[in-house]
Amino acid sequence: MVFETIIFFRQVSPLEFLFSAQWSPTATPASFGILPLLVGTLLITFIAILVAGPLGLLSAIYMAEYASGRMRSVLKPLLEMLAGIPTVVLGFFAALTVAPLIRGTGESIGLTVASESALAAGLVMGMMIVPLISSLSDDIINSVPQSLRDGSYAMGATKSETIKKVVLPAALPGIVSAFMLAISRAIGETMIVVMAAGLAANLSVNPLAAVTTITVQIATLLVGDQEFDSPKTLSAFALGFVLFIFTLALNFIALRIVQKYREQYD
Amino acid sequence: MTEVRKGLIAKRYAAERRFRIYGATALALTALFIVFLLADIIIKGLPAFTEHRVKLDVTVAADKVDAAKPAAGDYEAIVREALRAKFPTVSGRSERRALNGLLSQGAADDLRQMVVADPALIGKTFPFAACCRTMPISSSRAARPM
Repeated sequence: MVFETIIFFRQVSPLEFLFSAQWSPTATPASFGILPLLVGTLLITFIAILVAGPLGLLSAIYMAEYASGRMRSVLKPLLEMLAGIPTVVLGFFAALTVAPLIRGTGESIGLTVASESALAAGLVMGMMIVPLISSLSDDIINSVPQSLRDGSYAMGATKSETIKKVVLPAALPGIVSAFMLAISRAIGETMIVVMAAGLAANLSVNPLAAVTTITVQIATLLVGDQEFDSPKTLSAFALGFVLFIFTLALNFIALRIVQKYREQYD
Repeated sequence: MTEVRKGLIAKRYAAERRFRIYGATALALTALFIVFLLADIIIKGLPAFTEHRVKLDVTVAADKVDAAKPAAGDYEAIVREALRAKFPTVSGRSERRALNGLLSQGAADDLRQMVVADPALIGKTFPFAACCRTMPISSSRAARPM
């Protein structure tokens, strides 16, 4: 990947690649500005985490701390079922049901909404990663020693206070890594975005507009027969490289967060 | 216990209840999404297993289909004619167009295959179940011209 990326950067200047706001690899002259793709990726990932973060974490807390054993044994597999649905299915669900729904609602309150919107893709992608967060966080919350909770109850704390002030800080490293896994999944997700968010490389943070992501562009660049020395094909390697750097940076940030806020008890 | 303390306890219990409701709501929303997703797929998928046909008496006239080259005939016109004969009250351009819109493109092909398989049918009138378009998918996306 690094090798191919270097070949690509011999043909296209890295400065243009990183800072140009134009992405049109098939046009002549082709322009390779990664900015619209990066913004699209971040926007959709942000929407997805905005949906999945609270839903997943609250679900996990409820399942681990409040739900009875029987309820939990029903709910957990049900949530995990969501993780097992192929993303192609979620993709056409997003494109054919959620996107028109959003457009209809948006137009009824006087907003112009593209029929393929970042919001639709982000919402469905968020639902896709809810079980990832909830299942992992649930296991992690369960593995917090009971003695910590007992100590907190003995001080007169209510259950929710115990969860917020004792259990969650103790479970933080695991919860952060669950979020990191979820974010990586959202960044790497292709199918849902291809179908529901479109291919137009718009530099826009409007969740109602069509955007595209790095992964989608990699997919469209390499579908079909390609010559393997044109910058168009090689740019896929460069995009993959950026994606890799991206997730690496994310993991690094997560590690620092965990180190900073972790509460070590034993 | 003083009044202030009592108020504090009520507040803490209210926070406790609220927190619990948040958790239950999150779970309910997720479950609702799964149900919605499955229901949507099933409801939209089921019509794919049904088929609409209209029973017609088609006349494959010898002047429309060359017996030597049965595959080349204008079967669409034959099926349309039979359909018009079935609904004699239809008149006018737009009404006729709506009537023809009922037919699937496959109807003419079906008839063509029947006649090619059995060229003796040329010049005869026989019953034929022409397949129709099923209900249009009511999505704005599907309605958009591709």
